[in-house]
Amino acid sequence: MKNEGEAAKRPDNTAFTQQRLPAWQPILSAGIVIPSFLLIGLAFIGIGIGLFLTSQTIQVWEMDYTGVEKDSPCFRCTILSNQNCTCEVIFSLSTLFTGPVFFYYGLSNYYQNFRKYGVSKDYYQLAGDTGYFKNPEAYCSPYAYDSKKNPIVPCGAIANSIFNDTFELYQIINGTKKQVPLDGKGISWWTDYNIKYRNPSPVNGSFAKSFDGTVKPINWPKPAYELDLTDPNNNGFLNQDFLVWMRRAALPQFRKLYRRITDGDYAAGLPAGNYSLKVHYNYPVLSFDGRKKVVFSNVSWMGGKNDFLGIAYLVVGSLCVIMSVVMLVVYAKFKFSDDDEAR
Amino acid sequence: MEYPKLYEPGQLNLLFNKREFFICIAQGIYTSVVLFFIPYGVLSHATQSNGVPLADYQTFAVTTATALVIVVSVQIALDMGYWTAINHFFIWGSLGTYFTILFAMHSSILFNIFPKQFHFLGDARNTLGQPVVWLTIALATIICIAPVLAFRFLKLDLKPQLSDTVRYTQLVLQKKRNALGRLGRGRSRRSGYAFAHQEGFGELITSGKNMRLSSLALATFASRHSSSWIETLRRKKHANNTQNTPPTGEDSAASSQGPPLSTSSSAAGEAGQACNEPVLTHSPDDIALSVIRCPEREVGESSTRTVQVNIHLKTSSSRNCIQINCMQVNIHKYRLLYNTGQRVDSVGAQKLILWIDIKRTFPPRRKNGRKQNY
Repeated sequence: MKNEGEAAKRPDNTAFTQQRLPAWQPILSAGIVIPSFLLIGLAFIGIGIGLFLTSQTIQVWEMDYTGVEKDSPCFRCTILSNQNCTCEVIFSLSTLFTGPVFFYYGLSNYYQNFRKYGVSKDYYQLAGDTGYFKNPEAYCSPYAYDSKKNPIVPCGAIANSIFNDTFELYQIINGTKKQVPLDGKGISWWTDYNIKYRNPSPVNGSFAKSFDGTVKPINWPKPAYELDLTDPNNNGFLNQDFLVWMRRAALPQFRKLYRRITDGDYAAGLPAGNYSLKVHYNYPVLSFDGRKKVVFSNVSWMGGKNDFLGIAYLVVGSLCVIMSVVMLVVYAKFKFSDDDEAR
Repeated sequence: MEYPKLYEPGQLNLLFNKREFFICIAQGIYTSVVLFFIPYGVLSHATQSNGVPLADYQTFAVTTATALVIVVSVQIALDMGYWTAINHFFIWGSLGTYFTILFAMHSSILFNIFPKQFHFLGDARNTLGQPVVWLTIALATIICIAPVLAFRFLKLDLKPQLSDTVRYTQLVLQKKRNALGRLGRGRSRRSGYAFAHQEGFGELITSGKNMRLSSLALATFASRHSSSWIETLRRKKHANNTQNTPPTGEDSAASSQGPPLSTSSSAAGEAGQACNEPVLTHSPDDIALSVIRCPEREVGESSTRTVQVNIHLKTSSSRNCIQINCMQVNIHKYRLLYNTGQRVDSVGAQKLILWIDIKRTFPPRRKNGRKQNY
């Protein structure tokens, strides 16, 4: 028998409590799946063609200058164990290399993604916190203190292994060499340059004094405050080459941006002709079977040359179209055989 | 408990057993391989439009992580069959939360407080602003999801499960209801969460026949029994709580050789009912179908009319089974119980249509030790 108590215990008769919320019930019907596969397939084929064609218009030129073979120009730099070896590589471009041209250096068999290597840096030091200059991070060892127990700034294996080959590019015109200006501004990430890496404040007006009591990394030729004496905005921890190097690469074969060729006579690109690349060969890679190369490339809206993306899109697009046809055949065959059976 | 048969897959452990587990593992391995190697292949040679290479560790990480979250969200969306506002909120919300947290962790505010922990500064904005990265993510998503979609569609088409049939039925129902103009938009207000079914659908499923309405059935139905019982319906429509439920049966027999048996399924709910008002008889080939309407009776505050459906198969046999498939549409609120000892109740219905596809098959496979004998 009904009473008010029983009625009071009843749950609310709202849409939410009675599970009557309005809902959308999609169902995988043939009318949705097959056309959508076809659409996706065609869209991907279109995108793939666009990407592939764009990628084909990009020019890339690369050259390995490690000097492994005896007849290569830089071979003598590999056997000489002294510093300041320079070698000269002559090459020629057959067509105009449209600008702006980007100049990369590439390394292979170089594992910047190794875990112990990757954590070996001190973020506080690099953010300009002098409190950590005298007490480098424990992760930096064995590159935290030198043999005399002096703290190293900037500590760590990443900073210590900075790439220190330098290049000069000359165009050979009628036997004379004309230097191609290389622009090294803004080659690192904006956030790296402006926020993440900060120089320590100068002490008594001298930038070098803020590094007192510390020593340079073991493999560096010069300390951090002498990386670029001509430009204070490129000195110390704000040095663009330093920042580019500190941004770890993900794969054992990588390229890092070295310079851009955008100025002067070469703003439109590198004209066809003979060129000479002068390498100040300082970086030893043969001990771990690594290789060094230089790469020239131009870019488009999608970046550098990337055949993989275009081809992958084309392949996936065609597979989608094929799958949609197969599904249509299966569906139609099944439907009509079904109706025949029903008779 | 509208469809009790739907509890069976759970009880029989059909939905999560060793085979399903290994299929899940295989799909996980495939997705992981795709989610690593597609960004690997693309980013190893990619640069930004300002020439800076994209092959650094942090860009790679953000690309892979974002692709992962998106692929997983799409997979969840595929699995969801019933999207209420809550579902929308949580799915889109989880994607939004991911991007919010990503940008927060890569912001300069947190970096200035904890430089060592939040050293991915500027990564999210830098990476996700590159068109190449989004193209990579879209590519990885399609490669991961398209096989799943194709597989599911084919499975739904060729071997629909019981729950799929029921869901389809409910959708068709609600579409017909909307066609009558009751709801402005195609949204289901029926409870879709818990529904149960009885044996009728079981045969439909195990016979391998799918749930599409046979066009022949539609045609024959439309041509025949048009006016008489519709008029009856209209008359009865305004009576409170009592509706006529004249069933129409249409059978399509499959090849007719062999065995059979004489089955009559009758409504035996009420003993002592004098059900002898035949509404319809139909006997093509070797099947005689007759529908007999029993008189109305009052039960509590509603009155019901029961119907007895007799199916006689003329040929005889000793072995195999007959499977009777049944489908109903155009029913507003109904409870259909089929086979022996059960009743058809229809409250507020305009039409009750029974398609009875009688297909002689070999004895069904003993999937889980169940036998279907009549």
